[in-house]
Amino acid sequence: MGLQSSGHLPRITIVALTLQALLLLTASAVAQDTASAPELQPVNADQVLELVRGHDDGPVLVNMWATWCKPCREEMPDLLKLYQVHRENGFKLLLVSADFTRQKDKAAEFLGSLGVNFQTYLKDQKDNEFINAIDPDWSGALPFSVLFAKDGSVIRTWEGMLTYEEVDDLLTR
Amino acid sequence: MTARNWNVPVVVLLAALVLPSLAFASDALSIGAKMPMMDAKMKNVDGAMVSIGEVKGDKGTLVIFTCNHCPYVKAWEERTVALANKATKDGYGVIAINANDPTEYKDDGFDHNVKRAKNTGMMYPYVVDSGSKLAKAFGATRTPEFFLFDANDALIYHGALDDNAQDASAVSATYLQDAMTAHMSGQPMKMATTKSVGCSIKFYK
Repeated sequence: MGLQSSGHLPRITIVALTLQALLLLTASAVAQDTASAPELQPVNADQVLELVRGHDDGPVLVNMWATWCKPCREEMPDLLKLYQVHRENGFKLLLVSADFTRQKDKAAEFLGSLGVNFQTYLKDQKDNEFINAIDPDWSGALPFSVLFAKDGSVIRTWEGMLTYEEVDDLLTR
Repeated sequence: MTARNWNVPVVVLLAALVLPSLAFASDALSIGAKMPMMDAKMKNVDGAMVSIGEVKGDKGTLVIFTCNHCPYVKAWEERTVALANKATKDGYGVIAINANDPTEYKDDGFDHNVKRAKNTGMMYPYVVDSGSKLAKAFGATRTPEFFLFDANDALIYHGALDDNAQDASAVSATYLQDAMTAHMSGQPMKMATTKSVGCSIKFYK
């Protein structure tokens, strides 16, 4: 059977367009699966605290994490849920990775796999200075989180995993 | 009350109620504190039961909380073993302690301790702190974490090995080495406490 036209387009054109559409859909799906979050921006402790002070819309949760830290990975879905639920009220989630610089792409991939599409950060300062400037009571163990009120004062800190309920309770009082 | 309505008095009140219970770092031994649990026996990689008191040296004792799985431990490993081996020759007793619950990380099981001690060339005991009792008594929170005691078992240094885990060639402050040098020469210590990022100790439940 020879090529026949179907309406205004030849059948081969329709097949080609259909294949092209399928390829594009497949490529899009793959890109979604492997999407990275925006490249992590290097920061020191002063810059982290400046980002907190510069956010006037509501509370800020600063979370120090690393890809190699199992409890950090485990609590990340709770952090992202908090962000989804409370961002309309001005809540900001500030993720700071303590991964080594050579691991920053891996960190972006991990965040991307969880759908993170906002700016996150990479610790770029000597540990001792960074830790003491963020919180003198932080020993250095990960994960570590600080919840700042809208006025920049500290509401609570967590050395170790936090839970969604703990933060949600503080944000909805 | 919504997140938009936080005000200073409420925040101050909440902070006053909550923060005192969260001062984790203050639970660590203070400089000058006596070494705790010196007689507690722990299983060494050779199968023998060893206490810190038994490894104590003429100059003092270096206690290292460490593990096998942590990238920060691995990044510092070569430098740690080199300095710790040197410390044994300088008259310090040295002991490495793994306080992690191996059910959290298989790599922190006893057999892995044996392999790691052998592969890295440790010239000192590497023991299991079953129950994380020593880690809790010291107030250790992460790996690696170093506690240096003098000959009278008083803490003289607590903290990190140096100031750069990820790049040995970029180290600008050799904290622990400096503490030992100052101690051995009777000089005042420049930094008796330092901090580093590390893997949280996976305490036995």
